[in-house]
Amino acid sequence: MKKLSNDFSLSRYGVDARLAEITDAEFILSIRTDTYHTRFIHTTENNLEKQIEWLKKYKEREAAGKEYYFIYSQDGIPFGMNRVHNIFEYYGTEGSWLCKPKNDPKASMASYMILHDIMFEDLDLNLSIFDVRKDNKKVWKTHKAFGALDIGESEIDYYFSIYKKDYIKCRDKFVSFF
Amino acid sequence: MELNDFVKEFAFQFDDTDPSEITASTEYHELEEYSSLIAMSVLNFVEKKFGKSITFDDMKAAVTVEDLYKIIIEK
Repeated sequence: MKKLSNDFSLSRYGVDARLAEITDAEFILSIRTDTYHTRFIHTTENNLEKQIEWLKKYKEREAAGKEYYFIYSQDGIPFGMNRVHNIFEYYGTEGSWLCKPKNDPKASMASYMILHDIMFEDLDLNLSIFDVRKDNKKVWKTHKAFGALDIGESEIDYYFSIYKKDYIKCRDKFVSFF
Repeated sequence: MELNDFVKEFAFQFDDTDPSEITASTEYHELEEYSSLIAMSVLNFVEKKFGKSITFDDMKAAVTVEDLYKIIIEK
């Protein structure tokens, strides 16, 4: 299992990705407390101190190679975030993908693809396992377009997996949209 | 594919927007539901139905649904 350095950054598809820092707390909170765009994910209390504490604990998980939280910027202005967590041997769980309302669609999709590029190339994972709210139709349709396979469901969620080989095959097609 | 059919297919990519709200003259960037996920869905359907590849920049350049249709036809 590979680890990312604490100053990891990547520029691809016209956007810049870097690891989240404690100083990102305010930005993260501003996006995570937008009620319309976060209606399908776990709610976050609008409390800056708690967000800072959460990020401090996250940095410990990052140092251990268990989780990586990414902040995406375009022209130096942050617009989105996502993360891979519960990393173990060859797999991890992706999630927490959020972008500013009315963000440039190209940049938002770039952030989706960069997360997977990092998971499957930089971290050399082979599998992503995650859940999506059944009502979050546009998101699970997008995952399926990138090779996600149904592996189960609960009353409210679908469970998916994406294998590296399937993502790479789909990515090669979607890169032409950029 | 004629413009009217394209408008119907375009509207079909939205989940929460009433299809009757979307016409050839709709400025789709202004629709509340329009997002990266809708854009991806449109790019995908254009490739499947037209056998042509358009880009995010084409979608950004077009203002109305009809503008986008013209860009596709001219490719």
